[in-house]
Amino acid sequence: MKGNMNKLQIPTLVFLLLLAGCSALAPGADPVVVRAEQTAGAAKKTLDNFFQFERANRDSLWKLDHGIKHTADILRVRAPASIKALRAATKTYKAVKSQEHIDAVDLWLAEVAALVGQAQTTLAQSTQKLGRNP
Amino acid sequence: MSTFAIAQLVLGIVAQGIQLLTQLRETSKKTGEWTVEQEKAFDDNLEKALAGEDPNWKVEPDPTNEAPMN
Repeated sequence: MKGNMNKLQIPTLVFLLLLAGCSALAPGADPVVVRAEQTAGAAKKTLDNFFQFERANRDSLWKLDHGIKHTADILRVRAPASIKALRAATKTYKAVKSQEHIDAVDLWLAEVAALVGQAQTTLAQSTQKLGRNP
Repeated sequence: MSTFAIAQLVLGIVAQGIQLLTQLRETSKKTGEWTVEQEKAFDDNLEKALAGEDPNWKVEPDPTNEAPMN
């Protein structure tokens, strides 16, 4: 099961990163900033969807698998701090614009994308367990 | 895990990806950097999540200690 999750999470993460980086840029926009801001925004929405779904269906999901709430709770603790760190790294990069700060943004982008991937996988498993589409 | 269950799981993930793509398409209409107002709105919203003001983002006690059905 864990092996399957890893196999599914990797393409999901790649897909997310590609999506975040594939839009056309407005003149003068910095691609690093745009990518970081779009990822932060999309991550917040995806996590919102997952947390809302888990909370709305908590009693039913709890009877099927305790791990879903526990995964959601781990993400509830880690995700806001990671998105905040991504925002802080983005703001610092906007002020300084160095390769070192691009690396810091990329680091937090990877962390946030991993958390979003985990949320998507768990949401898909949750809807499957409840026998409905997301 | 059966092939059917894996297929259902993959379909679920694809559905989530499509939903995310739709959201990104909406945001990609504005492909520039966020305005000061957009930044503030996002950061304020995130602070609410960090402060536990949004119930969906708040860690709540487990419902019971009973074992799951499967």
